[in-house]
Amino acid sequence: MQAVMARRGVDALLLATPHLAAFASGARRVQVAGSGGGLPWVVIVAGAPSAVVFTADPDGAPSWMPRVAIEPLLWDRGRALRRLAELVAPARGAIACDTFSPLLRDAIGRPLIDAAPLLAEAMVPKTADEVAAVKTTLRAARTALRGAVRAAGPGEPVAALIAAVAESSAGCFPLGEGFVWRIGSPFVRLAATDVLGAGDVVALELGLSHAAYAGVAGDTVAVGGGDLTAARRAWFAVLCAIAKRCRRGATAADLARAATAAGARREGLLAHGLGVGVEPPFIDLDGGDAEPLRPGTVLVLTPVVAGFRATRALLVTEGSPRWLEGAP
Amino acid sequence: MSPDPSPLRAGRTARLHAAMEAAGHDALVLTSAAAIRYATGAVVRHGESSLEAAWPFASVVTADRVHVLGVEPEGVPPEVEHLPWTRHAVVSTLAEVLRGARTIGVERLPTAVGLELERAFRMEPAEPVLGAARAVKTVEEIALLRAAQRASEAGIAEVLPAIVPGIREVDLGARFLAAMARRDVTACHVEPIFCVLPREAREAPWTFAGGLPYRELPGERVLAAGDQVMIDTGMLHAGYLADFGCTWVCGAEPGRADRTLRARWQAILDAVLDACRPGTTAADLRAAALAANGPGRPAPWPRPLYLAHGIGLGGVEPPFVGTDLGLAAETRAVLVPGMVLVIEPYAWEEGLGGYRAEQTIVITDDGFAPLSAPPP
Repeated sequence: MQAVMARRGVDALLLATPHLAAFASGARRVQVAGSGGGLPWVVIVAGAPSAVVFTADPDGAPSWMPRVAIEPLLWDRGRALRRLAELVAPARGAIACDTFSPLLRDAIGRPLIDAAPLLAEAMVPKTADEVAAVKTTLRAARTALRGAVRAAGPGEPVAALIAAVAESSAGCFPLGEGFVWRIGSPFVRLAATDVLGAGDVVALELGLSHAAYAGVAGDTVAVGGGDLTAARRAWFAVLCAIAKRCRRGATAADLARAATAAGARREGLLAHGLGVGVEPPFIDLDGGDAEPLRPGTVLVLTPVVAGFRATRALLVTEGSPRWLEGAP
Repeated sequence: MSPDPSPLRAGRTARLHAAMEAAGHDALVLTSAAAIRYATGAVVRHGESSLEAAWPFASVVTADRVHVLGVEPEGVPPEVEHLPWTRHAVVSTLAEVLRGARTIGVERLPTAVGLELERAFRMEPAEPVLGAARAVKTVEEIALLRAAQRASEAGIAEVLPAIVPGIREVDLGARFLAAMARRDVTACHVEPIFCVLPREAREAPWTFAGGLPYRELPGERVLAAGDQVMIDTGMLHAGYLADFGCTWVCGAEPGRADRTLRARWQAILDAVLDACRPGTTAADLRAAALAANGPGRPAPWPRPLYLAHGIGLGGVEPPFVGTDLGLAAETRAVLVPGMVLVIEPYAWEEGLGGYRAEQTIVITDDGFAPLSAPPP
């Protein structure tokens, strides 16, 4: 973070979004879904030996963080804003933040710039430790998915699949509720109370967070048995066609072209980044607006072919990409 | 994934419009799942912060129209217009929908979007308007909060027998999520907390100055017989939060220390409940807890948390009791019928350990009614 801030002339960084603040500070808090972040709770000043965190969970701060850098969370927004202004007062250069709020703008009293490009730069390349952490969570997600697949019998409600995921993912926080789509044109997302029937073909996807890093896993199953070999083989061909293009400098359009040529169908995303959460780039068949791929990006490929959807993660390198997990 | 039913939507929309008018806001731009659901009845994709960033959503509320952006169409009520959230075009889409408005209340926005909108509109925080509308619950909302609470209580009852020596804290969280899913409650809002409380201050050296030793980050700690396991969970049922909390002794009957702490917790809770009626203030609840706690003891709740907080759609919400907001703010926070409070004192003493549990209530015309059962 400090290196990228220096390169971009940013003297202070204010972060409210939980996964970004955790990335930049190393601090862990009780995870709360749907708290995209109000006021910043992590402040990084250029050259400072540590981030400053505001938290209700001081035991979640890294052991190397000085005690003075760990402050109790403030519920009084006025006080919180005054403290933030005090912390960034020494900054002479730009002040960047990940979330806009009129209160913050007024309290800081100086122009704020968007932290998104800075964060995107800092989050790639992933370090070896980060790649290892992502692989651990990918493995946990795949194990949990196998639990859901086993539970996907005729007459079972979608809730039974979600229960199976919970049972086989102790120590992980669900990124979201988990998706079950009935395969069709288009895919139809099922509710927890919907019941699976024999002969249904459903696509499952779930996401987990473990030790701050995220993993996702998706696959397609035929409820009550059924042969998906041909569909799986078609999907695998598309997967490989996209993976071949996942090299330094490839654009979203390159990936989209390869996928279309191999027979991918327009249905949600084609690929997305992975790290402390689901991350940019977000690539769909329209190509999207993603920057050219950089080595050290973890990419989850999520192509859809007629009747089949699954996921597989890879690491973009200087040469050929490296798979981070086996084919589902 | 169907949108909220019509009577629920109508009651909330009326409250929100009144609050907007009182604040002089021509429009609101809302970006939190809870606020969008409150204002529109639309159900957004539930998830943590990176999912929200990956699939952003918003709603725009004016006096006569409601729009949502980035919400799956099957979750949107018929009277709400839905538009895509397109990364390149989101500012122009918002500006178009906001045309004619001058003062707008906004929740958090991506910085780039906020900086662009600022050129065209006078922007104020939306939170005071949302807070004013959401503080008092409609009859339909109270019924949903009660149902959410019941489901959580049943889920917890299923997990309690598993609190035995040898199991890890995180295993209990997983069992709880599975038990809730089997009751069709699948939206995990707060990481389920199953944490052994410290019996002595030296077991929690990180505690903030002046606070009671406490922990709430579950880990791989293996439970031993007699451990005081603090439970705190937050699941969303139809968007409404069930905040369940209690303390359970691992693999044993509660001992003398456990019973002493629970009795103290009960005395503090009873004193606070005595003050729960229309017209009293958050400051009165704080004073009641401190008086029941006895002189010379630190405030009976963890710092920097609270003695009590409101709940509704989504997470904790005002009124807060016992935070750094302080006495002046608490004196202004007057209880009125329809407010829903979670009261959660923490009794802790060196050598004895801790006991924390939660009681959810709704303020009624002549006092309060419980929405949660007494802790097990």
